[in-house]
Amino acid sequence: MIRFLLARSARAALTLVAVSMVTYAMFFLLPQDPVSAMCPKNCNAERLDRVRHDLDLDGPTVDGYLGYMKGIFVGRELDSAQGGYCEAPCLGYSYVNNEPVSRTIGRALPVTISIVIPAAALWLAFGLGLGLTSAWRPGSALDRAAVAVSLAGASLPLYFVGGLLLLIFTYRLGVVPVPHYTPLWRSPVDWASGLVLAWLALAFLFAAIYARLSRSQMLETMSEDFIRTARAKGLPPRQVYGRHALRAAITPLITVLGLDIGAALGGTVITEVTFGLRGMGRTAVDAVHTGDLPTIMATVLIAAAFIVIANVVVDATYHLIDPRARAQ
Amino acid sequence: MKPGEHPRARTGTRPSRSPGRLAWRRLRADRTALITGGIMVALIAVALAAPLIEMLYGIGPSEQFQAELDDFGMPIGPAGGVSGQHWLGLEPGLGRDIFIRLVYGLRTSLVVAFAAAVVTTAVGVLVGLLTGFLGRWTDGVIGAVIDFALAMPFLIVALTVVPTLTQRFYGPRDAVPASFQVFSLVLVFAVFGWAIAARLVRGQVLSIRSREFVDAARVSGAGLGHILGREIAPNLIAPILVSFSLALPAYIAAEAGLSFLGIGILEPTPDFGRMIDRSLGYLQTDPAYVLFPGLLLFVMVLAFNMFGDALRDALDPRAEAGPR
Amino acid sequence: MTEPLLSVRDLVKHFPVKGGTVRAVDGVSFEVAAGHSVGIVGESGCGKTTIARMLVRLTDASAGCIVFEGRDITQLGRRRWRSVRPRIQIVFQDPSGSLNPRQTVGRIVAMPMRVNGIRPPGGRQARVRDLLAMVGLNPDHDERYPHEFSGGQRQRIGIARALAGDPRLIVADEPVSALDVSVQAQIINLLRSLQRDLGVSFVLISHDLAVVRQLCHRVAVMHRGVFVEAGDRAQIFGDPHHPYTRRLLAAVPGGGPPRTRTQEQGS
Repeated sequence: MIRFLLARSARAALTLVAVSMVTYAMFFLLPQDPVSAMCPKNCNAERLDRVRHDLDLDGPTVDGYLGYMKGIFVGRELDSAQGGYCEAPCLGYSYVNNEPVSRTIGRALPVTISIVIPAAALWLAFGLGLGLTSAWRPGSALDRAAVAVSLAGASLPLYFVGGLLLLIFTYRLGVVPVPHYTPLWRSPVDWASGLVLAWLALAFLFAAIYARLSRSQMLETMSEDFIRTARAKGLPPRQVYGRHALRAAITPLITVLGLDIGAALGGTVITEVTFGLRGMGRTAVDAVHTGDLPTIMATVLIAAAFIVIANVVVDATYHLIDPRARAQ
Repeated sequence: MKPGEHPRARTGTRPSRSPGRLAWRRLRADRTALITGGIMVALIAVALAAPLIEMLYGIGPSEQFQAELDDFGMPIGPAGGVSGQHWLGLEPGLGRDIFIRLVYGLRTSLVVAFAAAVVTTAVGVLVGLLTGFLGRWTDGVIGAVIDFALAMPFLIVALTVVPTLTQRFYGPRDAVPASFQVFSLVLVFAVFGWAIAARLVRGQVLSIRSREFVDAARVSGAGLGHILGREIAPNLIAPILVSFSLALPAYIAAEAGLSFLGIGILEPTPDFGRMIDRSLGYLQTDPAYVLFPGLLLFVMVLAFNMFGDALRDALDPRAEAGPR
Repeated sequence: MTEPLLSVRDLVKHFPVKGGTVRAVDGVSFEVAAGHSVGIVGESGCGKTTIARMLVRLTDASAGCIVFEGRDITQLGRRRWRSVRPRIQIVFQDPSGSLNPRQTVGRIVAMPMRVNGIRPPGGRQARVRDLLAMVGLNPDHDERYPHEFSGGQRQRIGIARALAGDPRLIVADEPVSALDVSVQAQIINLLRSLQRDLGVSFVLISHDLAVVRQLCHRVAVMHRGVFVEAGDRAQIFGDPHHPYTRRLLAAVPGGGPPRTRTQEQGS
């Protein structure tokens, strides 16, 4: 198991390195010099030169890249930045916002986490609940309704659902305040009421997908031979369903859940834009609009890191619970 | 055998019961498939005939009807200005006809989605075939590339790449032609989407490859070409079709999403995502403006999804199991 | 004394696994004379399927030699092997899995001819129809698909395919295990008549002694990668030496020869 983890983590690290290289290279695709693109407003020619020197961009591109990567682990000297030094983990300095990128991220990340994790709990509960109940009696009225609802839910665009929720609950009924972020430790109630619409919108979409997925997984498992044996043994149907079938069907769902959470943590862009919440996704969008290259790079890197880590966790979990994988 | 007949002559034929034919029959018998398939065909027809519809309708997508807006820029009339002349009303602010813009927006969505689906499926199939079949080393390398492609956060990278591409070729003041916008969108989709298709096809190839009839072909003396082309490929058609038909609604939704964020198709080309984005600002004052594109987008994605499901059911080999 | 058609000497197959190697086949030798059949029996996992795969070179041997028509096929280069290949064919256990569901039966049976460039006088299609008739199927069904046939019929198709290249030796790996008992007898009879009429030799792999007994002149009993006993039919069934052989025979419901049973009852 340890060996597997090591090998898998090594592969993950390599993937991340590749991502960082490609992202870094992308900025040299711009028609203009990346340094002047990074600092469109606050820099005169002299400052630009200092920036260029700081970021090792006056030499070969490789140096610039290596300097950036080194900065992530040990920090680096940035003369042109306020304060002169960018502490580890140094994800660059944003000349547009005049602050180290890590500080921007530090503000945005908790927002995204606060959106994703509770929503994930909701969508898992509802999605699985709906899928399992409907697969219990396939073809029944409940099942067909569930299929229809989950199909509809999976087909509605997120921003449309978000817009509707806003219209109904905030503007027309006024039961929920305009979405905003308050840190959990400051006021849990405020935290929840500011995010609840985002949770609902996100969870609605994913719950629909998970309902469909869990339903089809359960149906497939129920038609397997070992279930027939369990039934023939005289086990009560609820036990057959709840214990035996569920255990077999749950594994792919856990995989998908892990991957979805990983991807979502990288930035639920559309949710954040629809509800005006300044999470990772929104930060990335704003960075693109203002040409804030270091922030863009950092958000891409962090989002990729989440995806890659989620992959490793999922693989490890699979390895742990699936005896077939362990036997190898 | 009748007297006088050659012993090797055929005694009557009957319609072929090939797996393909059976699947088609199953599909035709499925009411959901027929309805959603009909909707799909209708939508495609409307998209293709957009200029003709414009001609018949009499109003173009860029025409502004400022006279029919009140002092606040809001359309006069029920549900955002619905009338005999403007079937779905007018846009607030600019006063453009919503119906004809939806028709052209449909065209945008379908063009991008189909192009992306075709490209990604084609590339994905090729790579999946190669990697499932060539040696372990190639498989490892391509697997790593797929991992990399799937690790990139799609939306954020798209946000970065699309404007970059545009800036590369067009200055900040140039008008970017719609064809280029479509091209860069399809390119971005392709760079990510191929990995999904490739992973799927690779999995299928591996599972088919381990089936006994492939061994039988090898023992009979078949070479790699025959095995890939005649044994494996025909068994890939079903999963490829399903993957394509489910990719379409995904790309429709993705394109709308990117436009919603402001980096997909830009003005003045009509587009669902952008329309919804703009409409959210008028959520309280003119909700009809949100509803129309949202509903149409919903119906479109739903129909394609349902058809994809029905297709998958029809192609399910389990349904083909004959007598034992 | 004519050379045997097939002569296997000290055949070995190792599989590397975590913590060492598994010796699936650990030094096995036997001969098959032209027109005769050899049966290899044993319980599942004893390595007999691995032998089958090595005979048709689906798996390569770790050591030992397989001499077919005077040549050691384990050493043959690709081109030479391709010319020998049509003469050693295989019939698989699973009638559903061994036929490509997307091809017509006619195409499936014609494949060995197609890929080896064999053009029989009268055309391939005619030969396919003849083969189908030979295995007891209606030649008019060559345009049908595998799913339209029963399990036993599909197995016949597999046999027809194996015959298409005019083989001298057919390896049959558990050819009837997946079929109903009543159908099993039909298939065995088919194989027997093919052996008699065409002079084809068989290497029959099975866990079922009753099946082997009907077809094979010589029988080898396999256990954990080696032959524990080998001899001709009369001897193995009438006077088994090795305790494992006797155990196998005793396990056959009503199948052991009378002498074995009374021996057991006596002691």
